[in-house]
Amino acid sequence: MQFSPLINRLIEDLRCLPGVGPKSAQRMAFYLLEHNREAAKRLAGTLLEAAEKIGHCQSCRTLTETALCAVCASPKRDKSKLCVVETPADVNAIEQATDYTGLYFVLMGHLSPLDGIGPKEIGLDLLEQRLRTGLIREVILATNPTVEGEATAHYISEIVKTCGIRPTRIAHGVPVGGELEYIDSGTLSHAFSGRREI
Amino acid sequence: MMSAHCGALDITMTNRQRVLLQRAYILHQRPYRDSSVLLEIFSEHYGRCALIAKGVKRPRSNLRGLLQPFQPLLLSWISKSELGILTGAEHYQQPALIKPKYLPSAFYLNELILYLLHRDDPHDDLFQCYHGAIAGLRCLSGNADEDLLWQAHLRQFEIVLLQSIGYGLILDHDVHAQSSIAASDYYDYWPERGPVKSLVDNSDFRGVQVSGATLNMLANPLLLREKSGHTDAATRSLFKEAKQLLRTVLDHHLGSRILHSRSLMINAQSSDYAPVKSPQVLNSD
Repeated sequence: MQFSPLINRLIEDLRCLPGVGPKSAQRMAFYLLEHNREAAKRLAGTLLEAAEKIGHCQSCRTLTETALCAVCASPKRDKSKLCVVETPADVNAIEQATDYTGLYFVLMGHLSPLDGIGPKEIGLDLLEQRLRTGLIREVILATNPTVEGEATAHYISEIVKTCGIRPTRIAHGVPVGGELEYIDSGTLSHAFSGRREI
Repeated sequence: MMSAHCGALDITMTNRQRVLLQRAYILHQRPYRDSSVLLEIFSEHYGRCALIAKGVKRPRSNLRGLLQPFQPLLLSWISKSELGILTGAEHYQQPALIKPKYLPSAFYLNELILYLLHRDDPHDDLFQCYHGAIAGLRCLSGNADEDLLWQAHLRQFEIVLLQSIGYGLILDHDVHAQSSIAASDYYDYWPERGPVKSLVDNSDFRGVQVSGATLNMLANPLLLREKSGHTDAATRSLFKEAKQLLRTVLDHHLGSRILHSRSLMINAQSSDYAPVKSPQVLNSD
């Protein structure tokens, strides 16, 4: 069915969101127009403001509208520890699941030579400047356990060592509550090579 | 399960190709839509192919951790057009990991394949060589005395790759004099011609100068492997010349393409780190 040009444009624009196809976009558009116009106006305003104002934290590169994000600005955080992650979502996951109280550095990606992503693209020059301030004692490398993530972690660990700082890597292994029988062989092999004494 | 070497093929009237349990490696993957990925693979009998792996990024997908580069896999897919659809994947051998310091070298092999091989062009010999090179990189423990062995894996792959694409190196004779290579002589290697004995006046030469001993070493895979066990300065110099020769020839065929993995290849054995300035300042193999 053909809608008016503006409704068509709204449906088309909603499709820029991940996982939103034509049907979902149409449902969202009609919900906002029929039932919740106030929310639609609020959403439009917030989207506009966010797109204009949100940039990167000067210290850790995560997404924020202030010069320093809440974690970097907090006086309660342990400034001797720095956790390197790939995305802002990883920061959120670590904050929710662990009692880590140190600071973060967000790469916004990983080294991927086949995509043309090198050290500069993931902000390693900024990371090196931060490491040379002398405040950091440990760098926790929490990149994803993919080959690109491992290559990134290794590359950063070399930089960290030249700065006289201890690099550590998060452990890989079997998930809590999992059964060995059903775990994929790559994970199990990782878990065995990273076994530790108890 | 079918035998590992039994890659079955079924072509129906609709020109749909079904490939079963083909030995293959993932070269590269890119996210596609929400939960799928686009794969570039290098398979034993079908060469480089593009596949779509649907739903593998879903939390419950059992292929999530499996589809990683440098793991020997058995892949099954259906292809009707240029882009095939992955229908199954399993490990071909026990998964083993390459030490992180050698990962840039492994990316380098993948980058060469992606840039120099056409899709759907079978290269069985090159696949065996790639399989051997990846297995060799996996066996390296990271000790300094493995430096030349590491380089030997890369040089061997580069030589077979050039042969596979029809630009094999001429290593056994002087292309001008038509005489065999003498280990004690020096040769000017012209990327588009081959080795010519060095002249005193070679001002118009735009290639790389190598010793006959280096050419002899590269011509013989067994000698290359044997030499990689030495650590003396003379052997190191042969490997350095071999690296410069292969780099010059590959750059000639790559044209303006830049190999980004080279910039990541900090000299793995010396583990000297060069600060993040530009790709050119890093030592690469």
